[in-house]
Amino acid sequence: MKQKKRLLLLMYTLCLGAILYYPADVICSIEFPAEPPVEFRFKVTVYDPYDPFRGRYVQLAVKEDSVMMPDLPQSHYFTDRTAWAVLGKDAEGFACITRFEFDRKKLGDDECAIRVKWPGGAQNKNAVEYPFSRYYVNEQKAPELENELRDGSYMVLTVQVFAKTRRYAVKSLDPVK
Amino acid sequence: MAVMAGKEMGPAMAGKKQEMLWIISELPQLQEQGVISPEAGARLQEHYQKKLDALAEPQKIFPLILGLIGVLMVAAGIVLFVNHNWDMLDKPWRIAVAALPLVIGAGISYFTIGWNRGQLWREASAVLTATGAATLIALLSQIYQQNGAFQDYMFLVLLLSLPLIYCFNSIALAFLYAGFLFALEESGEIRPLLLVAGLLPYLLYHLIKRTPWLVPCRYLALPVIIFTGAVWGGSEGIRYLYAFVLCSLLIAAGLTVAENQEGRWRNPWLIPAFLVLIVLSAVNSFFWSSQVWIWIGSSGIIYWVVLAGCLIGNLVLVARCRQERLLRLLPLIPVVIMLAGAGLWLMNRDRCTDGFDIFWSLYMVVAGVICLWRGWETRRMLIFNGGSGMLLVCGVCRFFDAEMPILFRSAGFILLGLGVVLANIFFIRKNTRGGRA
Repeated sequence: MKQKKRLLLLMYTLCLGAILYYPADVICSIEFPAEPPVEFRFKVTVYDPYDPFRGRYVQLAVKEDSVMMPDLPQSHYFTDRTAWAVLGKDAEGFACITRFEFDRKKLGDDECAIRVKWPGGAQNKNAVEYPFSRYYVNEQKAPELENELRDGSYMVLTVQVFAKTRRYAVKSLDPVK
Repeated sequence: MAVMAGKEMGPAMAGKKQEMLWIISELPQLQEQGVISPEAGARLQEHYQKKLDALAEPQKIFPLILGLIGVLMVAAGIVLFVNHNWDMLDKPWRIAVAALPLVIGAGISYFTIGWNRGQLWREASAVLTATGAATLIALLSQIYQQNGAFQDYMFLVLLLSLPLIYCFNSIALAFLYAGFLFALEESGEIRPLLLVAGLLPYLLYHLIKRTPWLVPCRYLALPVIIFTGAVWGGSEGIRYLYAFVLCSLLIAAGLTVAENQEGRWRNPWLIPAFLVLIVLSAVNSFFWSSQVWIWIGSSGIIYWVVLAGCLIGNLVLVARCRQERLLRLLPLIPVVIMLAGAGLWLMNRDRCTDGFDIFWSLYMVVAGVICLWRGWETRRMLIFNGGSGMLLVCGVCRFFDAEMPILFRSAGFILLGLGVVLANIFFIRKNTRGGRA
């Protein structure tokens, strides 16, 4: 009986360890990164949805024509294909995609890349889906943010990208200065 | 190991409560008549009373469910309250709040294991730890504004929950796990395969060893099977094959349960699977297209691997049964025909065989007649009615697409209806005369 209890305790502790590994990894890689993150700025439009449990947040949409992108070979116009978008900066300092890589191993150690989805089709080749689609804000601020952008202007989303771990963290969402 | 803990509760007895009460009520009479000695009577009384006490009382279950709903509502209210005031907290505090449910779950779990608490505590420990993990991961991605895909999140949560099911032998968490599997329906093939493969030993252990979780696991198998069909039935043609193979699997297993004289609520496989078989055959008799050969023939290898696994399981079940093999093999007939058709297409891709629609009507008639015959012979109302249902549906389907004069149709309908009613009357009379209703 005692042995069984010990075994169960060990099993549960291992389970708990496995559960805690992921959050610990996220916190450590963002709070104590091995190398400083590189910040990229994206032009985004926002709108304010409501969810009974999530509360208010703003839905982000990177302006399609704001990110320069390389042409892709025809063979890569697949539906829902995911790719690594290697990021660079354009003349104005905003993020641009320098190339797409379908194999993570081919990415350079110092290259900043985020995983994007490719809806497919040559017609809308700029319509890449970025992984950051929500920005959580206070429930009063969300409708205010949406109202500010009624004239068709945009906001700037600053994203920190960690080259080695391939992680990213959204830093801030600010109006255009 | 931990799964074995369930055995402490003794064999599945929920359905035998009435029988145990009856035995206890008979004991004084048996003692009076000298059939058993007073000592034996006392020992039997003690034995069955202990077993009765171990059963969950219905009047205890409802307050438990209501209590659970109340706790969930309080927890949801706290989440909303924290959500509203989230901005007031610094990042470390937010992380601490996010980790709180997991900390509570871990505390309860260590208490449960350390003090060797009962199954209810084990269930609570497993569910609280899993939901705590889910909350922590979700809130962390909110704190660090990392959105990610819902399917990635669910995969991670389910993967982390899996060992907890085994650790606490938790049927509640197993049901939650099976339900949330459907969130991964469109996330490729490998991830769902991993998650289903992870749950299979738990399911098979309880089903084969006939533990107290036998009946819940029969119900649990249904969403797992439906999910398997939904994921690996990716290509249209192979989806038909899967549906028939899985139906056949459930009918074979359901017949075995029915043959063991277990109650209808303890057998969730037979009736739903047979109904699906009727519906599938009826739909195919209307909309069958030779395109299916091409779909089946050009399906990927992974579909075939999973299909072969299901088929082998099915054949093993049929081979192990000594009676009613014909009934168990009936749903496999369309599988053989479809595989043969796909094989023919692969050999000669320029030609597609049309005119296969008639097969489904013939199949329904043959299957219906065989069910009627076996039901009549073995005096099983369920199988007999299954056969009547199959023939009835076939008749109704042909009413819509057969180009016959209306008089013939009406005569056909009357004959079919009368046939079903008379067959039932004869069947009931035969059973009453034979002493078995």
